[in-house]
Amino acid sequence: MAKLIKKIHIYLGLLNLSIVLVFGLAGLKATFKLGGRGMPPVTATRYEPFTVPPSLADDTAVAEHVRAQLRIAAVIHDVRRDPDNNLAFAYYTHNGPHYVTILEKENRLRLAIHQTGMWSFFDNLHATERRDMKDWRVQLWAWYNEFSIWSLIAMALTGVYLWLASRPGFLWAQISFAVGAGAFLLLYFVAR
Amino acid sequence: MYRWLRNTHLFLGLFSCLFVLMYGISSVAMVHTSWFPRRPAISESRITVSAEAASSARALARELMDRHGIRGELVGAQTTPDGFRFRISRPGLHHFVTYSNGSAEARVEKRVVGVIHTLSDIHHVSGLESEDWLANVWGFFIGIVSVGLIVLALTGIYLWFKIHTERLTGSILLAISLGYSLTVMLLLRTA
Repeated sequence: MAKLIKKIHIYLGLLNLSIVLVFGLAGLKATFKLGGRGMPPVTATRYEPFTVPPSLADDTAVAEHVRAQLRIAAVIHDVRRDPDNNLAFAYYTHNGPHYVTILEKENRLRLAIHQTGMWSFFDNLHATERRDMKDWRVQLWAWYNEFSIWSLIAMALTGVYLWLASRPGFLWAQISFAVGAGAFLLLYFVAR
Repeated sequence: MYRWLRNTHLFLGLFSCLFVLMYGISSVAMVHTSWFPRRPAISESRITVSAEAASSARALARELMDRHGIRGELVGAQTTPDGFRFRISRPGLHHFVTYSNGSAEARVEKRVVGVIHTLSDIHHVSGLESEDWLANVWGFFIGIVSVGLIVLALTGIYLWFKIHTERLTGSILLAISLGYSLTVMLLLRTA
């Protein structure tokens, strides 16, 4: 039994190596506010010819059409109207927000890209949870994230099992568990 | 070296165990919201406020904290057509406060969520600069666990490599894992 559990623990660790590192980096970013705060600056702006297809009935359909045409790997998007009543979309990607404004009278669109740094990129990777977005790259990562969530739970449980099955009397291991679990439970109940 | 790294892996893993489980379980709850619908227990009260406290969301929040024992972080402060509203939140417990200009009372809606959603709230606690000391303590431990995850991953690779019988299968799994994740990461970063 312990041999099988050990295999599971090792294999899950190997299959989740990069995402566990991503989780760790995202935690460091959140703790120390690494990579700055607030909206990243505009790093690129460009205009492209664009005409709203007459077959698209509502703004959400136009948003999806534009996303597909520009191949934006958006996790979520917002649809709104700017002060000049132009249709405007905010696409939130792992690299930062992309703002698209449809300039219907000019038959073109304006794309403004706010590129984030690597710390925010890792943070966005760790938070990818939706699997219903159209972009296939986002879907691939979201499925990997889902797999990693279950793996993380399994690795924690199998890790404890392996300790209890091999060296339950190891004092420093007992102290490590007691300190970690004690701190968590104390904080949890004080927070409640 | 092997023994030292094995012990480091063990100690960090055991220390981080409940924190990691919290992250895992709360992530499941956040991804599968239909499995864990958020149904808070709601109660409402009206609290008399002083004239000074009625001047701003921050002043009112301070009075509610100092005189009425409400704890947590002030978030979501907004002005409304006839006053302002905000939330004082801590894991599992949220006070939604609404104040109308000229009124002597603030309306306070208290929402208490269950264990799973408390874990989800804790999942989002981070940083060391909160006004709430408890959030800072959580943030400190989250920082330790974050470093712990990185060390666990790296020591885990070393420990696996030292088990000769697992090298072939492990190498295949690692190649699949890195091939998939790094490719998707690169695609997303260059998108």
